[in-house]
Amino acid sequence: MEQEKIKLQRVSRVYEIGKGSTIIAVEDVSFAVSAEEFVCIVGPSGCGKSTLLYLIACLEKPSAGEILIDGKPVTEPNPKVGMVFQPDSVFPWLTVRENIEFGPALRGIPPSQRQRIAEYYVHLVGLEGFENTLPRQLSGGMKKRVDIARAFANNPEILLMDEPFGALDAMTKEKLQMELLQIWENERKTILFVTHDLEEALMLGTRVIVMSRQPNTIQTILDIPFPHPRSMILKTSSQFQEYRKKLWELLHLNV
Amino acid sequence: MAKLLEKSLPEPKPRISQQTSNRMISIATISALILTWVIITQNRLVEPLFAPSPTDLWQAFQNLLPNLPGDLVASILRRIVPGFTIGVTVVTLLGIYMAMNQVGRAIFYPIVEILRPLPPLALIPLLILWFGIGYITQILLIAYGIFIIMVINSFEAVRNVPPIYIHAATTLGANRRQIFQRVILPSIVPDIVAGIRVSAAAAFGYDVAAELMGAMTGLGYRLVLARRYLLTQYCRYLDHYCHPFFHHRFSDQTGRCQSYELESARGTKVRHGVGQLLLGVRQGIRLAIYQKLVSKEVQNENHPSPFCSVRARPLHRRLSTSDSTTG
Ligand SMILES: Nc1ncnc2c1ncn2[C@@H]1O[C@H](COP(=O)(O)OP(=O)(O)O)[C@@H](O)[C@H]1O
Ligand SMILES: [Mg+2]
Repeated sequence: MEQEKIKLQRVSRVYEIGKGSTIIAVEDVSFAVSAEEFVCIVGPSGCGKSTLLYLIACLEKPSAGEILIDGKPVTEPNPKVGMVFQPDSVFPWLTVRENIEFGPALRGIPPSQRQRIAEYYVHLVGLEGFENTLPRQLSGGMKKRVDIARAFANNPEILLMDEPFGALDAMTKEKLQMELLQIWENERKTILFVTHDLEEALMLGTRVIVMSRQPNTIQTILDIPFPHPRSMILKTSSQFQEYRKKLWELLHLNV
Repeated sequence: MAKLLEKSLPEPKPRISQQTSNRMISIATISALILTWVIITQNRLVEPLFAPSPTDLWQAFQNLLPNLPGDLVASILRRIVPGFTIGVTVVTLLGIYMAMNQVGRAIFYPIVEILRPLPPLALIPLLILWFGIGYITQILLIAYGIFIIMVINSFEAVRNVPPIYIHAATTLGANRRQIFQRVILPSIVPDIVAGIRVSAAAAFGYDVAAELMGAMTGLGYRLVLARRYLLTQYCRYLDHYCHPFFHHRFSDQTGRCQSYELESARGTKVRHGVGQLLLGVRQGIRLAIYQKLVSKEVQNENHPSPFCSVRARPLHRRLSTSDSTTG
């Protein structure tokens, strides 16, 4: 058995809203992710997907249960765990390059080396020529790509991605999906990827976690057997369609 | 792909022509106003005392020219710049402190709320009592005026920093100090700059008020003298041309400093807009009170006033050589 990179043990998160009333955002969730796995999380909106990522990134504390990374309980945010947020989080006062260099700059990496890192990731997400542009001049999709490049440029071991391609047009989305797969295959990162797009989950994931709403917990975990490297052709295969149907049924049993 | 991306950027051409046509409208408006002014004064439709003509004004400008650089330097360098700097520094630090520290807020917020409704000019008698008539009082009045205008602004600016930026910096490995330096400070710059722009106009107003308290140089001082001797063309020159001119230049510069806008949630924007509106209304009320005080000052001219010092005499004589133009 491989080393468990991320492990959640009976994790719950309860929010107090006003006097005495509470919302259970995440209820009794347990799962483990091995190193270099690509796990997708799908589920209806409000089922606690974003909260789950916030908990793993230690931006929120669980109300009950324990979260382990590399076998150690998480107590504070750690640059080893990177995150791409659901809404746009590009710093508007920095240029594209400065945004991408933000992580390395925090760690005091010299400018010449930072420059090379930035160039590499600018190229990767296809933003050449926009290095010195301020975010307000970029479209929504371009900002999302800066978000992604910024998270990658910090070279985290674990990447938490919260519907990163949700706001993109179909073409850009497919291009970035393929690129993400390539990065994952080359750099062997552990990725937790939230999406509401079932095809995307099947296309990218080695496993898919299906969550249910009320209770906000794990319903099923599906292993996805398609071999790597994958390409878009996969979508046309009958096996893919079969899995798609299965996932769809799992989600709609609940609603 | 690249072509697609380029399309999403605004095309520069129509914006420039829009700008030029707007500029033309502005020029036309100003020209029309000046023309009206010339027609009214040339045909003596109004008593020259109440509306000096452009030629009177030019004459006044030439008469004031030897004093003008000294007055401007006195007003701007000796009083406005130090007062403004003190005010902005204190208010920015206090705003950040109140927004980031619960205890700090508990201590200072009620004090600020009690002070805020007081027009700074109402403090003049107290300031004079405490620090005498002089330089320190003048600077403190300006600094305090700026403080009152900007304090809530800078407090709200820190509170409105979108949490997602702090979260993003945290996951990239920023510690508390780095979050403060690299996220909070740059995000509040637009709000602070907006506050500076609003209060820059007021600084000149407070400067004039400050110079009413025993200054012997500066624009406000010159204004007092001119009003005292009913040399309207000087008042007008000083009041309407010097101050807005310099204020305008200044706003222009700070406007350029404001290099980006925070495209935060719509809610924040609306709240921000309402805040700015309220600031504007308060500003208006304060100016009205100020104007009222100044007009009282002018009405009292017939009575001997403590401002009417012996030192004014030689200058009066100098000014009175141009009395013929007043008619
Ligand atoms: N800060 C919060 N305060 C109160 N309730 C919250 C908060 N964050 C999330 N919730 C609630 O928790 C539930 C799960 O939210 P979320 O994790 O954002 O769902 P998802 O990302 O799957 O759409 C929702 O019902 C939401 O209203
Ligand atoms: Mg979500």
